[in-house]
Amino acid sequence: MADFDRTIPPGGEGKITLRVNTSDYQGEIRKRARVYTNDPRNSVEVLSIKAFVKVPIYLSPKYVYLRGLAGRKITKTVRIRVEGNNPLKLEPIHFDLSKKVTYRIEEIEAGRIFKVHFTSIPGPAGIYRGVLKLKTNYPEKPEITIRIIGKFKKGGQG
Amino acid sequence: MKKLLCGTPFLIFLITLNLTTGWAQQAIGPRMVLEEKDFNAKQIKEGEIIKHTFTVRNTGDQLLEIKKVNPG
Repeated sequence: MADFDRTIPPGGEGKITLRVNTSDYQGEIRKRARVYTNDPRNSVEVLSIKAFVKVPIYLSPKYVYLRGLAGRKITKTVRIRVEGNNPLKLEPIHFDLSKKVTYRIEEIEAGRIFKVHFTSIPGPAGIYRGVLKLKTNYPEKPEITIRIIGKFKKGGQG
Repeated sequence: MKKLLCGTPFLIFLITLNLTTGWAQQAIGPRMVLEEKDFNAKQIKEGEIIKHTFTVRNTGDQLLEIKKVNPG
């Protein structure tokens, strides 16, 4: 979001205020804004805001893309990591793709690192979207949502 | 005296050039000057709103118009 002074007299000063909502971001972010003016030498300028968004629980990647040919099995993995000393507990509470995708939660390092493996169930060509929601024992992040997108083209077996 | 006489045609030439090209009177138009283009908010917690104000100076001789600011 941006607020700005529309006109600045010769010799004067104006303000451009940018706001960045960091909800749903993690790690390093950089947001840019293009400024268009009537300055003939410099009609476009780019402003940027960068930050490191600290989250109690890191997901990498944040989204799962299962892409391939229809009828094939595709597997993708999401890594979940915490930096604090409080051991993380995960409990699945919602999954809306049970007919198209299976998942398995693997604890790599007790209470600190987990992997969630998603595997597509072979089926026809098409696109689907869904989420896996996991309940946590972290009061500052009581729920984790992993978004899943499946895109399967014709050409495989089945 | 001789030096002064020799310098006179050059002075006339400079004045004529100035009048014909309009160097002194030429408008420079609006000029956007940003002292800062990048802001580092450093470490923040997820969900916080980062708000930062950039200062724009108009060092030109005509009104500077900010037509739009497109985030993203």
